[in-house]
Amino acid sequence: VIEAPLQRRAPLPPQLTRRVGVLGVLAFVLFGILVFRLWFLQVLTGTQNAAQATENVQRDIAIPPPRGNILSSDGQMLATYRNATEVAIVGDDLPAGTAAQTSLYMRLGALLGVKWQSIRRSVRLGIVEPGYAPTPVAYNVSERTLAYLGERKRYYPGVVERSVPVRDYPQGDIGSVVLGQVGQITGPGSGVTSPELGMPLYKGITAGSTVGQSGLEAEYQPYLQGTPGAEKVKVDAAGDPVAGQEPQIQAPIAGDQLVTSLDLGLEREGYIAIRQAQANARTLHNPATAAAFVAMDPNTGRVLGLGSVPTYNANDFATPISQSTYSQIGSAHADIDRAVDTGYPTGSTFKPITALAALGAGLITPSTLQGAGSSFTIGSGAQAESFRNSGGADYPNVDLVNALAESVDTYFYPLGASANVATGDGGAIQAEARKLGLGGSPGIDLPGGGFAGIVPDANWVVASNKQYVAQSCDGSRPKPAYAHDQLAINGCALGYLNPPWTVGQNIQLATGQGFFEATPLQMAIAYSAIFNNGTVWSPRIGEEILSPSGKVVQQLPPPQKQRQIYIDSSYRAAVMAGLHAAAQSPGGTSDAVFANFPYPVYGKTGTAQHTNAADQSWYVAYVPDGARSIVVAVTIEQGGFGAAAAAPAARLILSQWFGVKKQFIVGSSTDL
Amino acid sequence: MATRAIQDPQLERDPAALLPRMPRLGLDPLLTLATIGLAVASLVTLDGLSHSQMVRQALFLGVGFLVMLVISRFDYSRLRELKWGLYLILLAAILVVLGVGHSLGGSTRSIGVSAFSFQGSEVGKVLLIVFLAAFVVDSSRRTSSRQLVSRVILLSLLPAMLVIAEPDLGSALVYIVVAFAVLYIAGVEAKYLAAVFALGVAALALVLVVGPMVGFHTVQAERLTAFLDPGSVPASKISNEIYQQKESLIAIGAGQKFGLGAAAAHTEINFVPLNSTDLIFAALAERFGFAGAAVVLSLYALMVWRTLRIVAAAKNLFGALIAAGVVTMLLFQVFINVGVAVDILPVTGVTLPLLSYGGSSVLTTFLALGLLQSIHAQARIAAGTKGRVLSI
Repeated sequence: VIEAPLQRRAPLPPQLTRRVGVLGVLAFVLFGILVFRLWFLQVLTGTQNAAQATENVQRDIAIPPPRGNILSSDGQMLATYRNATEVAIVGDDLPAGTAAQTSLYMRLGALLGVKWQSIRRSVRLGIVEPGYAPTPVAYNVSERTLAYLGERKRYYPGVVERSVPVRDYPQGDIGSVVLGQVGQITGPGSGVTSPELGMPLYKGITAGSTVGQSGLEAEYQPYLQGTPGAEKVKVDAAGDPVAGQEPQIQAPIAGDQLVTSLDLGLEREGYIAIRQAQANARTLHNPATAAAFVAMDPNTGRVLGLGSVPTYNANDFATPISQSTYSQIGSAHADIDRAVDTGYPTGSTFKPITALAALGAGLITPSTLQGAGSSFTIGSGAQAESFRNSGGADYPNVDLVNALAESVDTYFYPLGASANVATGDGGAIQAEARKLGLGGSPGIDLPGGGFAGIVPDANWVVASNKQYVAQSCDGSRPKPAYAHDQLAINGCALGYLNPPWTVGQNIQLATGQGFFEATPLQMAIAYSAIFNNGTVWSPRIGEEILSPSGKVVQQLPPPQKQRQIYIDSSYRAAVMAGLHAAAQSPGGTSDAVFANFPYPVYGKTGTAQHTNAADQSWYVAYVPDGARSIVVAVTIEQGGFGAAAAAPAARLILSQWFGVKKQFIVGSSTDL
Repeated sequence: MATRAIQDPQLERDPAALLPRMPRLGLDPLLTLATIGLAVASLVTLDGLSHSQMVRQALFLGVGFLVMLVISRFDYSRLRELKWGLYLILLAAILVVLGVGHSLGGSTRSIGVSAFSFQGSEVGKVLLIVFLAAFVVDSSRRTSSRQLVSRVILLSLLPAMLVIAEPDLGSALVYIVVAFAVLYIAGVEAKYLAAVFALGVAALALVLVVGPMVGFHTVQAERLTAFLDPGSVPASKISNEIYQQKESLIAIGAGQKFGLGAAAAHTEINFVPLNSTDLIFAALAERFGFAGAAVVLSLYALMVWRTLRIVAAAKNLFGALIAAGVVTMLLFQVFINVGVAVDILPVTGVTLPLLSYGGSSVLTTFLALGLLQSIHAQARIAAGTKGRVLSI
């Protein structure tokens, strides 16, 4: 072989050989780098990488734990669990690309009868980071569908089916607002404003897990949750379990059980009672849109029963909820616990509080006679403002007992007028109401602790107007000054601001009207304090925590006192006599309902007037019976007169508690 | 020849003049051996991934091989006169793809031509090499080095910018590197090349670092970030490509010394979705281990060595520059593609010549190989007419 000479015709550059040589050296170096790197990866650290490749296909699938039971005080199941077949999606195994995933969701949705958009939503909610639990898509899937899916695994990548514990509420809609909802924990990717993942309440919970989101389920979440197990499966690259390799199962640990003070019989009867009251009110052409009840032990502060309608079946939320059910619940506000979280004007059920305030302030004594006539007038001439008795009833002068028994408005109007303080945080009535727990959250063991309600005064009017302006005025229009004499300027909130505090407002408050708002729970607490001689409870539902096997793990703290107040015994005696006469003596506003009740009843009707809507019906009652003493508060939204709607419901609840024959007796009193 | 052309211009335009003047033309045997070896490696690797792709790749390789044989029989020197035509075809091919191309894996890189989609930027590599070689040869005696460098860089930046817009950073980098190599072999002074190199680094920084800051195409910047600081990319944002690079590394490592053979499953089923194109090296290394990977790299090294010889032995500067461009293209693509697979470079999207599945890539490589064989053959003829024999 003869070497070719590199002699070339012009214009081959003279340095060509050298430069080609440099290119050759560069090529040699580059190949050297690649070979060295491959040697390092495949020969030096090959076994490690091989191990990593195996690890890559070892998959931990979380097994959800059974949620702890919630029990009534007599050990009956309010919430438990059942095993259900779940079709879920393991995000790791989803095909790459939106189009492939959408196609999978559509095919799966058609197969399971689920909207594909809701599958996508569930996956987005559940998949936040690697290591999550499978996202449930459907439950109670038929054997045929499961078999179909099983045979076509490779066409449904990421889809698994398995038996998992699912929350079960044997009582259906009874107590659902108290028990609350469970659902998939919301993560930062789910679009909710405050995602639950990472909140202290949900510490250590992984995305995709089902957690308690409201009611007792949320309040006692750390006890009820349990610890998830894991199924450690070796899968090949296609996601199929490797043959001959049994999955290692790490069993989940069930959550602890919560024993409540709720009495299942009372709880059930409460729902029956308020629903019957609604039905009856509707025969009287009142819409009776909603209702709520609370029963508590005035001596211990324990809640015995609590409920609200319209409501929902708690099981609706135990598995992914259908969009139509969800919107039905939303549009009816059926997920609101009206017994704890909704404030209403209470009408005459407030009168005992006005009475205690007036007695304490020395405005009256129990024997003071006043209130004659059919109306009470303040001011004179064009400024005159008249407050009438319900139905224009004309009374003679009465003492306190009769004023309460017959609910004589003209007895209480002057008390509102004389107790008025035009500035600051009000006078004796406001002070008495606040002492009894109104206008402040009761701090019950439910998320939020319960609505604080409103005890209105001059300060409140200013504050609420400020709040209204802050919320409603977006800056495109000038903000009005808060002082009322400047309201004449053009302001964005003009016309919607509350008028300044007047004596008329205080007169309204004396009869539980006007801006005043309280929840049924707050009224039960206030009445309990009168009956138990001054203990204002912060009521509780949870009593103790049991292990899954039933051993006591922890006694929950008993109800705490919001405060202990002093009530003069003669004042208390007068008010008690008035309430007893109202319920069980001729002429009493609810005598028609309770006259033949075999236990002493201390009860007050209330009928609060709404603008452009039917009246709010109220009844609050106390029945002393030693350790079985009970206070019941019932309200029917737009239910009509207290004696006609709320009082008969209260009688049904009390009948259940004392084992009295249940009769729905409607009173006809038109007293407010 | 030049004398004859002047005497009889018509003769050069006569197709018969393009025919070889010697009845037997030897291909470079070792270059041909490397070509066949790599083609076999491609088919064997693809067969483990997808039989249907293997069959189609066999068709591409067969057609490509024929194209190479045909081109090798023509005298490449005639292409010099067609340089502006080639440049226009290059721009048109890229523009057509940009205009009507369909999106493949997020990038617009190909246009559908019935059964087979055609990537203008791939074939553009060879067109640009021939054009630049011709441009440099025609301009070298008339212009200063400074002018030559700036013109060559501008002329290659134009198609490079167009393919970046597709976006196909891989091809754009090939264009720039090829231009650099052509200038280098043409004998341009080192200081100008250093300036061009600095300019290139600055341009790259502009695309990768400054671009994202002003909201310009962030695909490349994301890849770079993911490569430099893998922990900084949240799981939800990890793109397919970055995921694939990690999976590729695992697959290569699992291959160990001699490979997993038929048991190689990691790359087989969707762990590496682009395994048959950009990441075929991972499949190869998992299946045949270090041994198989080393054989394939050796075949590439053989190919590069033979091409460098062809550069040195070319009968004229035009041939030397074409061969230099081709060797740079091959070397660059091999290093970038394998470098991505073994995770020493960020994801770029460059095919592995001959191994990667795909008609455009295979055809482009065979066009280049055909030119190399032609340069080799013409060099032998030239040497032969002077009574000299070229060794193999």
